[in-house]
Amino acid sequence: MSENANITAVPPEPEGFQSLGEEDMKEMGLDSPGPPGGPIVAQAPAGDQPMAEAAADEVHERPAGPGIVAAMPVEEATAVTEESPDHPVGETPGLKEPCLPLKEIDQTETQPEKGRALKRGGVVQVICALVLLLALAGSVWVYFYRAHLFGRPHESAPATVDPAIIQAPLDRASSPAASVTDPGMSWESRLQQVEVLRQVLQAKRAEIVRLRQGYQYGVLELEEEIARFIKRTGVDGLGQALKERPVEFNLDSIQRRQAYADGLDTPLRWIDAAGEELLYLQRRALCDLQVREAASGVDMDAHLRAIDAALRNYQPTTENVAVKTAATLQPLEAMWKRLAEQSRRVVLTGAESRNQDIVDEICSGNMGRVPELSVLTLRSARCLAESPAKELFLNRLTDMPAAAVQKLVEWPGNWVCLNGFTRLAPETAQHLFAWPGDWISLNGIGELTADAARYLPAWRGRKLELMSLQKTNGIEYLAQWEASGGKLFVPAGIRQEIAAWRQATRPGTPLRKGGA
Amino acid sequence: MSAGCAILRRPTALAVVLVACLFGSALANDADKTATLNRTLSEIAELSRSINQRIEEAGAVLDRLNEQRELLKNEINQERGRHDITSFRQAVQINRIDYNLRLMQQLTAYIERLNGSMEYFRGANQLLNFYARQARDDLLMLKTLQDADISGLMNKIAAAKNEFEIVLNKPLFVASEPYPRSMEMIWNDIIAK
Repeated sequence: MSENANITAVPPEPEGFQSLGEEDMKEMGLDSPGPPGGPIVAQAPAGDQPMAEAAADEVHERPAGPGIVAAMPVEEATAVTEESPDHPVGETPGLKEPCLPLKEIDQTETQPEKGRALKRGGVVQVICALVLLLALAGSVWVYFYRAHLFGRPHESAPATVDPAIIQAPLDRASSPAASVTDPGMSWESRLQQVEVLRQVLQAKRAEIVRLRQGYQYGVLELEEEIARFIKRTGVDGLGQALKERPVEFNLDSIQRRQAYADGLDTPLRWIDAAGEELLYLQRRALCDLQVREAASGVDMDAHLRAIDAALRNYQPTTENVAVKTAATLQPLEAMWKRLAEQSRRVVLTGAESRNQDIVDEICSGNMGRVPELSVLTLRSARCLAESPAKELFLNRLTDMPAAAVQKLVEWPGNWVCLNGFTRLAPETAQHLFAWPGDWISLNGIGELTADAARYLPAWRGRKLELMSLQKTNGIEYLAQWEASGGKLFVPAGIRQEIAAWRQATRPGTPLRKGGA
Repeated sequence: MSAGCAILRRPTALAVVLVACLFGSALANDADKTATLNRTLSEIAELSRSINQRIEEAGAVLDRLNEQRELLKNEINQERGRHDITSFRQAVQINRIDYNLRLMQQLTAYIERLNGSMEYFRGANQLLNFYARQARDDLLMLKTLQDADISGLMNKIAAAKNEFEIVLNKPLFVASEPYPRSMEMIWNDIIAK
């Protein structure tokens, strides 16, 4: 405190404050001296500081000066030093002429004026004293209650503050050695961390699964291409096929993609194991958390250690989710044998080459000939799924392979017309009614089996056209879907069947859970 | 004359005082016993309330644990169906089943201990009710006959109170004791149902 009083009396000298501040901090066992300046510098306006520093330098040069200057405000001291720059060296102006302006007043003013000046000086001194006192009090307040401004931890607050409050960090669990035997935020946040990590791992898992699906689809796509090639060219020997560069490249690509897809099993297994262990640790800790008030011998610190270790070890780092693609590649001979077998099931249409051209156009972004597409290959399904079109008119298609439908339903458009379909296989229906779009036209279908129709109630679309439908044993599914908000376009006969079914089952019609 | 009378009256007065003291003391003794019994009855009621509160607490925890055990069991059954698992050896190869069995083992131990604890407190309540009934009977006895020996009952109640208060201040069970049922036993219970 006394140091502070001296500092307040003497005009500010940053270096001096800094050294004082450091000593002060050292006395408290703190490393950081805090921002330079200290309370007084902080109190002085920024623009005044250089002048105040200059004044302080001048004052320090005069041994007897401080005794007089101490009683003066900083501004007056500055004025004195500015107006008396030419004192002879070795002369002490404070002794002979304490203050040059005062001397000038002595020469010019009368006695009452001198008295008034003295009185005014006293008032100024009192005001200065008050200001300094306030500044001192403010400094002390700032020092203790805004300790962080000085780089001091909050614990160094005066003893009047409850020590328990000071010593308890907001989140005790943030410190690895923190005790967690007390109820509070620490466990909540810790378990939250576990949950977040689990979600991160799940997201990573989904990402890897998508990647693997992409590779697998790529393999199927190339296999289909080779099978069609075999069918088209009649090539049946591997050696002969390898002479064709595209076939060779395709075979190599299949091997590589398969190896990639297989290699992704390792990180997937790691993520699964990590997720399961995290869930177990979370549940085990929750189990003990709810009985710890009622039971003795609950070792929450052991839970904390286990959870901390898991949080450290199960981060999806590059090392942890590394893929090992050096796995053995599928032998070419076995692959060729399988593809030759597959090629026997391929049906080539007369318009094969034209279809191939359309697919090439679609894959290059030209959607103009989409309605002419008569066969949906895996490649064309992928290109359509990736297209920005909002409507797809695929009325020349009479059927689609399940893998192609699965890919096609990734297309984020609104309306798909498949009026060339005369029947809907259950597998196709399952994929088709998982499509996130709004409108499906299936106006070529005459009969709809219950096995296919049962996937309809889960579809979130708005419109379904089945204008050729004559017969169905899945009327309840149509009625359920319509009751849940879908708009069904069916012939009058089917409409009557739906109405009859509704009549018979009222009021137990289940409704769609979410809005369409 | 007056002095002689005064000499004669003094023993009479002393006798009266003595009789009054003896009678008063007996009355006071009965009043003490009544007060003691009443106080004991209210203490028993208070203790009984605390025990009931403890039973409720244990019941709430027990419900939660049972619910969680059921969820874990359902999950195990789902996984069992998904992976077509028939043996314990196969089951523990699946992480989710293995971990759930461990959790169920822990929960089962806690549930059994909590049940034991609740059973103890229910027994304690029954004993306190029994003592309370006897205390009320003794109170009626005191009211009617102005006498009853309550020291035996008081000793028993004091012992019971002492024991129950100690137990009330302890946790409901000890979590750190070993689990009595093996994971395989729990698995066998699940597939048996």
